[in-house]
Amino acid sequence: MSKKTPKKAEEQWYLPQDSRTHLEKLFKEMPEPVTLEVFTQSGMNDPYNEAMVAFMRDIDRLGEKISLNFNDLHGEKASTYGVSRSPSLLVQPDKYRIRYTGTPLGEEARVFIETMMLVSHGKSGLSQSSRDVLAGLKEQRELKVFISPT
Amino acid sequence: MLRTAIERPDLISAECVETGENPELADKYDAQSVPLTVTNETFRQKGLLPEERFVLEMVYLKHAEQLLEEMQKNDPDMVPEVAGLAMAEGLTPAGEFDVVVAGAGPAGLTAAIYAERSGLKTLVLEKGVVGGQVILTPEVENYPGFKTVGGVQLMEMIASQARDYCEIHEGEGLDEIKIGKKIEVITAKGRYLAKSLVLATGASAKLLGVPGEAQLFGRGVSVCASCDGWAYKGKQVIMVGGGNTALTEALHLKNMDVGVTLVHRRDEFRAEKHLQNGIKKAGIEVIWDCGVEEFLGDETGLKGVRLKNLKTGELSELKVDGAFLAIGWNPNTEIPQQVGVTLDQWGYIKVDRNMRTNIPRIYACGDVIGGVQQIATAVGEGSTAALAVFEDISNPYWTKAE
Repeated sequence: MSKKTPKKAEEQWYLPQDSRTHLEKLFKEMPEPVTLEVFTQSGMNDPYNEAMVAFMRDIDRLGEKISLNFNDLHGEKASTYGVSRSPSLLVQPDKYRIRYTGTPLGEEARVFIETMMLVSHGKSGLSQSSRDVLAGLKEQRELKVFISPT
Repeated sequence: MLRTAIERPDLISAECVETGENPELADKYDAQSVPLTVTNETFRQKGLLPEERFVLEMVYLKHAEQLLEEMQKNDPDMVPEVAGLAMAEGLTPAGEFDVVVAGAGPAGLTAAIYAERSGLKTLVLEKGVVGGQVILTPEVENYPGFKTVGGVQLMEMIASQARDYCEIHEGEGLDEIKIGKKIEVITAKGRYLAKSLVLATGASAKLLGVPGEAQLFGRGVSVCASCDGWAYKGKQVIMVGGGNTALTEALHLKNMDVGVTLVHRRDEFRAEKHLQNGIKKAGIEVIWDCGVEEFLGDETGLKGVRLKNLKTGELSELKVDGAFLAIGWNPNTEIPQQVGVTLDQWGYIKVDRNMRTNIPRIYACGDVIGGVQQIATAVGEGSTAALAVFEDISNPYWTKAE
């Protein structure tokens, strides 16, 4: 079951004013649309679910080319993408396998925004030598990066 | 790391796990020290690695040391791209810059902004995290433009502005400086060549050096009220010091519902009048003319302090749950001293009005050069240093024929 974000003007903002201004400006430069899939399940990590939802709602409202879908862990999408933790966030899942398990906060929020912009441009932003090395990759690599909230 | 999943969506999936929200998952992968990258369930990379090294290791599922060994054995199966590893291993420099700035506090970040805007390719290296001492301050009320602003908030703004211009490497401090045709800066993660170096390494909190301090540090004794004050809500602590930091932090603790008493070795404060009035108004008790002789406690932590009246010699004991020190800073000059940077009589780096040190192409700014050690002066010194760098790169004073 997925529901679209209700766009209510009178809802409270999660992000502070200066961040919103900065992000609004940044998102205007998005060439291609980006889809975000948020997965939450009440009863699992509720305070974090709230943070994730509030943050993503703000992001959705600040970027015209950003579309956001909310899902729970029992629906079709959760099973298609193999999501079992709440909260989780997938970035452009029809094209990439980029997932956040837990809300991107602090420094990670900055990386998340950067990632969205790169995805919108369809570019990785890696150096030429990194890209050359990756061009030679022939097998699957499943990366899990563990970070702590700053 | 996520970028690799954008580059090869066909083969690479990337999951970023917040350990705070997912402790069992962190435990499952033994992720006590982060950042940690686990690839294909078994290949582990610890810490922040330079991009190229991370990619190489992740693609070959071998650590740099092993790849280098195989390369040196002239393994015929080894792909030429591994030459890039030589870079990561320090055989060839990871990058050439016009300026390397050591330290990402207000001085360093301002120097970086100015340098990059002058057209100089700049890199900022920071041993810890961006922000310097400012991020330990709960409220900054004397930085022009802001009636009041949180230390962290202010530094986030400055850092974000600096990032618009240049790269900042966190978790990468200076290990060594070498001076040759170029200045070589060596860190645990790479080697960089630069035309000039700006030292903005700041200072570290002074300790008293009295018995019990080292043993009870972190267990009642602290140098950061904004970090640790929260643990003493409803309890009693002393704040040792008489300057702006001590008084600001004491007021902050009082606001947090911590019972705080100021202990100062003299009979008047050095701090701004405004802060002194604040202390009076808040009714914070002050013990004058006293120094801490000893920190008393046991395996459960700090229990009290022994004070000595420096005028009368009288000893007394005070029961406390916590003790905060705000008695000044020691400039971080260990590495620059290696190459002969001149220090003044108090141990700060000596500079001229343009932030030049005695060594051509090396400059210093911020708390490490002493002075009044304010955010406002750090910013001014950072910009001055960067402008001197630009001037000297265009017209090197050390090569002028006299």
